[in-house]
Amino acid sequence: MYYMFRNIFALIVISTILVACTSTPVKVDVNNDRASTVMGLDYRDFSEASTKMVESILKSPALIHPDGDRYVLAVSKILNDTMQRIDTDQLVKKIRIELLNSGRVVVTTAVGGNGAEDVMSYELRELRNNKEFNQSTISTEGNLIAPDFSLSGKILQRNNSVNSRTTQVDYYFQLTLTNVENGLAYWEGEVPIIKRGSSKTVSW
Amino acid sequence: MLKFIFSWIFILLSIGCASNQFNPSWQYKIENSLGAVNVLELNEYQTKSKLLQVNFNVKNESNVTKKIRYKVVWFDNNQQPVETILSNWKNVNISSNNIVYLTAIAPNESVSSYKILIN
Repeated sequence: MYYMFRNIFALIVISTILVACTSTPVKVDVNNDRASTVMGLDYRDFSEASTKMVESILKSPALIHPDGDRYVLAVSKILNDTMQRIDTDQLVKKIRIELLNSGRVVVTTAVGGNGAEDVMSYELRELRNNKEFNQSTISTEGNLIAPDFSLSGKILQRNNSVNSRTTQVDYYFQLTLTNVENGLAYWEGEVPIIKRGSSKTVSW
Repeated sequence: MLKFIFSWIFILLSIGCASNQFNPSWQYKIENSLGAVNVLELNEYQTKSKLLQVNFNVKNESNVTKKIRYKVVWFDNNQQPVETILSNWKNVNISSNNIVYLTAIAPNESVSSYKILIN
């Protein structure tokens, strides 16, 4: 009897310790995150880079339409030349949202560097002459708007050893806004993000 | 007796002058919770694209490097804060007794006022 109680007591104590030691997940306040940085790219780096890019675009006269209209922007290829698996939309989406909200541009999803972002514009046109659909609700020919500007860019990474224990990782966010009518770059921006830390930490 | 009265007047004048701090008209646009860091100058103007741009310079009055963070909250015509990544916190290191020049641009034309937060 004594042994049974002892075992039950020990079980309760062990399980309590195990539960207490398990760290509960916490939700990060992305607007007020003071945690230390990581050697790889995290959401704060994308946020910083896109903020600086948007500020630079808004300060430049490149997207001021002479008639007060909005320019049409297409998103071309944004290359990921880092050692990390990155979805470049982490950078581009923030920029698109801000530029759209600025009233300077509208973004076309009918053309892009990797084809149409939203294929529905073309899928619906396949329904022309389909008797199941009211044809007056199907877009007629010549309604898609071609872009005035194209946004392209690259994210680079370079690793350098500072000494045997310290590594420096340089990231460069580079974007170009090209006027597709004449092929000239009307705006260009680069945001370097440099991190220095222990060589034991990995950046991929 | 006369000496005592003059000394007393001199002391009062000295105290009076010391408490007369220069308080610029734009001070209400800044919320600074750091004692050793001060905003020396603030200018605002409308850019060609009709966006409000703010330039301000911040001085670290202490003898050590200060790591500050700041953000500009933009308000629209209805005095509602505009949701934008341009209002995110930004980190700046200011070396001792140095000045940094900072700029911020409004996210769109609806912005009519702003508040700079420093901590």
